Amino acid sequence: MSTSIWFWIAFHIGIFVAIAVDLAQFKYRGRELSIRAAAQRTAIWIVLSLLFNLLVWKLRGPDKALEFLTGYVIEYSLSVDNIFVFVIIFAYFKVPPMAQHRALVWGILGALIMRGIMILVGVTLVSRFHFILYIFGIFLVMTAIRMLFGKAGEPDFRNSLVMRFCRNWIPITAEFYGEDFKARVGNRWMLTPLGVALIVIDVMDLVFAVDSIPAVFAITQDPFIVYTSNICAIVGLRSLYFLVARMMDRFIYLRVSSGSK
Amino acid sequence: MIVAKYFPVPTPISLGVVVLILAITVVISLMATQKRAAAEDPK
Repeated sequence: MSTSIWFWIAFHIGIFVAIAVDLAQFKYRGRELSIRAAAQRTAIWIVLSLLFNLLVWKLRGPDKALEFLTGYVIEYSLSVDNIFVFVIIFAYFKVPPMAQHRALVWGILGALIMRGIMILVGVTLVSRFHFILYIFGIFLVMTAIRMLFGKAGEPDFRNSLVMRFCRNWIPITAEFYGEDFKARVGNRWMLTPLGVALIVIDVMDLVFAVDSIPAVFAITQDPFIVYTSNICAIVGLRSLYFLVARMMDRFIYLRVSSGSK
Repeated sequence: MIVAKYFPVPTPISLGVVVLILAITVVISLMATQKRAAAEDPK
């Protein structure tokens, strides 16, 4: 069953309106999110996603609704892994809390676009070459084995490919310029450390999407379900970040269960 | 995924397994942190 173009348009309008409201509220607030506020916003994003799940039930039936819910739960739990890496990236670049909000908003918008492209490519590949699903499966099993027997530890961004590229090819300022990603120093435009942090966040999201998208393909190959469950899970990531980042020391095994050690 | 053609796993079971793993992790984490806090503060 194909999805009407109007439903796709309505879904994206809904997502951008929700992000805009969240952003406007944050700007109006003008300070860092408390744990309570982050928990409230996380709950609102979950409720909105469940309401959308009800809509899927109404329009596409209970089977598709269950597929959406399963995809959403898988993506949401895997996104905890992203949060742990965000914490490390922000600590590495010494990003001030207010600037973290801005980097997360743009990071998540970048993730929306990149995941959309990856899902489109994935769906096209699976529909044309069904054996790709087996390759995805083998890839996931290998990832699990590597996580099980590999060395635990924090990723080193200093010598990562993206950091070396930024250092060698992009002029970077020594200090932050408020919440700006770029700054004009003398006569030339330069990227601020916040801008570099944003690039690293988006690249890391892309790396994580390589195993989280195939995981949803194991549940369904319906592009609408794969895409919407992914998007619903990542739009709530910003408030979840401010909640989980402060409670990391209480949920010590959460990272292990999300498959990142 | 690899053997889904021969052993199809129903979606509710997949969902149940994921939720169960997350729930167990949260409970074990809370128990471990409480135990650690109690050991650090024996009062």
